[in-house]
Amino acid sequence: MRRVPTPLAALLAAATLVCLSWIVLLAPLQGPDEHNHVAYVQQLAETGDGPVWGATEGGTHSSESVELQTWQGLSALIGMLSARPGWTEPEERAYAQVAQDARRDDGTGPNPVAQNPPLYYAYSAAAYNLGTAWSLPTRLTLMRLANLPLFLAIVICAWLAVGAAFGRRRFLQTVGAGIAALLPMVGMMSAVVNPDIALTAVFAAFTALALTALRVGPRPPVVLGLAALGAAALLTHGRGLAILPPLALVLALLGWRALRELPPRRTLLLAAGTLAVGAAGAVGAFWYSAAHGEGSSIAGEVGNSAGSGNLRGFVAYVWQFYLSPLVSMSPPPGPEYGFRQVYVDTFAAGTFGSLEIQYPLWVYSWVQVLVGAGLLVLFGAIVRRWEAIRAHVAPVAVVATLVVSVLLTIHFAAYGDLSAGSPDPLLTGRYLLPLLVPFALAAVFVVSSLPRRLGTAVGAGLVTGWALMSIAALALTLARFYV
Amino acid sequence: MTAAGAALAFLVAAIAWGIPFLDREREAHTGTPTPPPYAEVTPIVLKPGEVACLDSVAVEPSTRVVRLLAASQPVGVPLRVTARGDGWRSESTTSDAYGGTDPIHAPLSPPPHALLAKVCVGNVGERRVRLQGTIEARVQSRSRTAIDGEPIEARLSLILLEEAPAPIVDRIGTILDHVAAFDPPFIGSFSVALLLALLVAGVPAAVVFALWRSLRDDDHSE
Repeated sequence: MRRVPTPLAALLAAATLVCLSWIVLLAPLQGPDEHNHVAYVQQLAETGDGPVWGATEGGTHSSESVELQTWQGLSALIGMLSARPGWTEPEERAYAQVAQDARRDDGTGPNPVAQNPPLYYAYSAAAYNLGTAWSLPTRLTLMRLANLPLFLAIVICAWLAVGAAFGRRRFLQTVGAGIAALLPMVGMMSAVVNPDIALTAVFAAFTALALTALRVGPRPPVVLGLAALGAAALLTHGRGLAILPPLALVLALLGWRALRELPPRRTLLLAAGTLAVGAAGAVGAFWYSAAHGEGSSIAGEVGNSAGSGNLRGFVAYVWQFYLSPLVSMSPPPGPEYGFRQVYVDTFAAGTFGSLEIQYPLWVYSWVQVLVGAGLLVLFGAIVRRWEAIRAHVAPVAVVATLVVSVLLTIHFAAYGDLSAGSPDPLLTGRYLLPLLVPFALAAVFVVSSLPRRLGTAVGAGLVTGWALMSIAALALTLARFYV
Repeated sequence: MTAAGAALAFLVAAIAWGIPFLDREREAHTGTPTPPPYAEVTPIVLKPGEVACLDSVAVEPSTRVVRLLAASQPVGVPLRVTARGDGWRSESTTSDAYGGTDPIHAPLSPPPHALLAKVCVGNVGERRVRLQGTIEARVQSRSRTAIDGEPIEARLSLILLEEAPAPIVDRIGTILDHVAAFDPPFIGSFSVALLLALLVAGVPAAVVFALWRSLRDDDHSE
């Protein structure tokens, strides 16, 4: 059996500590939309079927959950910096008393996340069921703990992806995996009951496996694994649809090689198996979402308002999201919201809890400067190493397609809703988490392009900086909820 | 060199940010029966002699101050704040030296043990007083508000505090107890303290070690 490389083992230990600390310090139900995701898991675990959206009787949350929110002040706590949870003994006692008879299976009312496909929720329901004899706070902790293997898988996939792209260079792999382990947003999301962490894990695995597949060729386990990850993405979240273009590209590239390297009969069988796995996932996801989302399909969150707006407006919206408007452009719909808010404030630096826990403003300004500098150096490195990139056009094309596909998907969804009159920008940094490994690859590419001593210092600085920010974010979270 | 630089960065951050963070004085909350409104204040108006009461307010032995908030109040009015529950009672009167949207502080004689109490605010002045309340759906707290026994839709904003702001480091035991209150029975304040100690020491150590070891591995493989 192969040993886990020592630097990776150290990073996995760090990631475990970060995840456990978030699980303990982030007050119950205070992650993004966590109360609704927990309601989904509970309904699925208690009744065998998930909640629905639309005209349906009952409350979104079970009586047991409502009592918890009532007695421990968790509902008024969401996003409210001046509120604290009910931590006193009389509140705990009162909750314990009413929880004994409170129903767990009556969260039958409309749930705004009901259209999400069920894969992550079924996984989380298994953890919930382990604690069925215990109180809801304990089951909540178990659900959050179930995210830990997903988080560790992300770190491992980042390590493998860098290895597949840059070879067995331990420092570069440490930088890539270190970014995945210590980016504060991914740390927090690893402790929140929310399918975003599962989607991140699926995309991380896809990135690593796609890069490996392009090296080893069309081996059946690899090809079928890619198809399974495509199915898993669709079964995890509507934003998982973004996996289809890069999946199609990598399968096409592998198919081209299979035609030359494998016997025709084997190629045909492999193609049929791949299609079957992918189709099963797609059919399952679309069927479930249509049945639970009151007519809206799996696209749910990414396509509710797809009919609104037009292509010209979409292009103008995306342009102004990243750049200053051109003279001919009319202002985009919605509030002033762009690169800084998504890439810097809620991704590279991070805002925590339900967006109310923030670093001091100067931190975001500095991170913005560093992200800008990083992009400039990345551009310079691409120009300088263009020949090397051209020599690896297939993996670069797959990763680039993945990036473009995810960005188009989330911008398309946000534009559709904003055009339909929503005041919410509907785009936040955690939606970029499926691009965590491609971002880590970009950072590693920059580090590997710099002179050796400078590159080493930059790589170490990235990992160290994000480790410090992770610890700081946890300290701010402690102060926000418990002081 | 690189690993030493990373270790130095952790040390500098601990001294430059960590120690001031732990040592900075912060308001010490003991409870928020109803937090202040998020976006829109719904004034709760008390005529002279009227009393607004909140039920099911958790009060701890460390609670010393009841904080209310004025709502566009031109001139302050004295308020009598009473709290009672399980045989305990506290009563005090605020000054009238507030206005606008100022916080209004009333001292509270703490109960001998944590309990659920009824907290009432009476207008003992000669003018009407407008206090901050909320009907926002997101601030639907457990404690309902009634004026002279008649329930109203808005909830009176009320925060309970310890006597004075204090640094985290001085209240670390209490804070760890607060954290542990929401965890499973097998996680107590000691295990939370152990985890946080491991986080603060272990993550930097793991990062420094991973960087050092990876550079050494690369050197050996060249």
